[in-house]
Amino acid sequence: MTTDERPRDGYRAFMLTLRKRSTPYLFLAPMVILMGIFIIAPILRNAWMSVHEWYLPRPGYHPFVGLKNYYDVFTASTFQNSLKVTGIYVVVTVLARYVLAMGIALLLNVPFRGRGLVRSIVIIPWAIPVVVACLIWAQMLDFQFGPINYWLMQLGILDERANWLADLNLVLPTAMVVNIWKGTAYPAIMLLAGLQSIPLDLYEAAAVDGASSWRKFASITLPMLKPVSLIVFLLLVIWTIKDFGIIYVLTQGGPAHATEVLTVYVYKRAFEGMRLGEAAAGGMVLLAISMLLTVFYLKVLGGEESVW
Amino acid sequence: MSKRIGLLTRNLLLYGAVLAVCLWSIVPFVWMISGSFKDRGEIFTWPPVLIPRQPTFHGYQQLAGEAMFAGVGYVNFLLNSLSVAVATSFVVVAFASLAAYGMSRFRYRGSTALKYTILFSQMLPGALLLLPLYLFMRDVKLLDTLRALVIVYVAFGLPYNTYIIKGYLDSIPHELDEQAMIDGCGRFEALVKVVLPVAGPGLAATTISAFITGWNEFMFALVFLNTYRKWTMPLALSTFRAQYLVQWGYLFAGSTLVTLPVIALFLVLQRHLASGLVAGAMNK
Repeated sequence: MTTDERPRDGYRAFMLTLRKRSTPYLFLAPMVILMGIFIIAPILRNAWMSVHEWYLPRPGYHPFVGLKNYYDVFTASTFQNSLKVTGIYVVVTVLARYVLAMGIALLLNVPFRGRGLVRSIVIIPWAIPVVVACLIWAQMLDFQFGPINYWLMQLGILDERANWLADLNLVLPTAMVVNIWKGTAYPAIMLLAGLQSIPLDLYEAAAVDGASSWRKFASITLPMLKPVSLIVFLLLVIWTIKDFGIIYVLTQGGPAHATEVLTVYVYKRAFEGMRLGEAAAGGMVLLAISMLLTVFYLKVLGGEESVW
Repeated sequence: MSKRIGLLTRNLLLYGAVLAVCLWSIVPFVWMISGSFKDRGEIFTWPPVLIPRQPTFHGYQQLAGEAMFAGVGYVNFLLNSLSVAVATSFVVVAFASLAAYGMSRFRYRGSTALKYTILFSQMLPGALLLLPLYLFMRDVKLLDTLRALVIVYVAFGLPYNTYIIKGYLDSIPHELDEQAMIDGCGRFEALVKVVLPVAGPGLAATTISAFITGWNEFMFALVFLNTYRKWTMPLALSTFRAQYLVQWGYLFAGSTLVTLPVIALFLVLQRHLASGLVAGAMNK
């Protein structure tokens, strides 16, 4: 009798463990499968494309070319230019947004009448869709009829109209202003939440010791904000490197490549130049930069605990 | 006396700074709304006027009535955007809840690898995936469909939203679903009937943020969609801006229509923006 039951029991137990073991994977499956197909596989395909000839008007002809695409990209002045433009764009807008956001967060942390309303107003630029934000600014910056020129002339800052989006020297700073306008609310809200989590007794103790406001800011606020600041910085840098919409809608990378950041370069190389191989190589450079920054953040800055 | 003067200057400085911040944030928004009520003449004029002297609904009427080309008008673009955003947000939240539950309640092999993949996918530049996904969609004959956009937005939105929802689920005691399972529910049933309702507000916030992503996205729409009929609102707006004679009146009207729902949603989300984002981003 017992010999009869044993295999059945074993089978049942086996099925039960199998079911138990597989349960977490069933829950994770949809996400993992989608990420596999639409995130991981495309990266591999992009890597593959970057070492093969891939010219859109010549379908089916994809011989292995080694690092030729990378060589072509790195020796192209347009690519070098886009690295430079991206560098300036990222460094200036991230620093400016961080400083501005810190100012706004400190301001919103002071109790005053109408603070809730001001908070809502501050997040408006963040809420406006990128394309819409660029449309509005494009019209406001219009050479002939834009109000920016008018207001600046009224204030005595400008003597004559400036051609913000067509002047080679002005267009990149102008795009950066739009980026800063659009992208300051997010870090401000993050920093504000960070400020509000600092225990008040720290400040009280410092006040008892007779510390000045600046002293309190430098030795309490800033150190306590370090974890939030790190993550804000990383996110701002990565998002700015990824940014495509602001530049593309505002200037399409022009005039004369003056605002052509890496993402716009990749897009243009692929869909205007039709050189998908080179565009893929450019994309791999973009990937390498983002990964380096992430690893740097996790390992060197010790962001690991703050992420999980 | 000098103390009062000190307080006064402090308040002046404070409110001066507040006013500057408010103006900087809101002027472009106000400019858009006022522009949506302007006629051509009042947009192409010097000096520019902030408040239209002869407000007109012409821009909005054009949006509602006239078909731009071949029977396709702005209503069409709005509906396209709406369906993409709604589909994206529902699928994202459904799949993300499942995955978040799996991550929150089980110990499993590969959990560390999964966490890092999720973090890593947040850092990925979309422009990198643009080419391979374009070719993929071409191969499976999904180019120029709204479905392709939904699929891509879902795949991109999943990691981040899973992460956020996991934060909410972690704060719900395990006893809750264990009790439900003792009462005879299966795992899945326990999740849907007991755990998710408790996580309701968090899920609502996630749904809204996924909706906004779908509503606003531009780059993939630009690359995937060709025919006017399929365009989403951001694509339509950016294309009509690039035309030779820009019709600002109805571009501004269209912009206002796209923007107002998002601003309303942001104001609803306001409390979650900080708590959800910071808690999510720092998990503390």
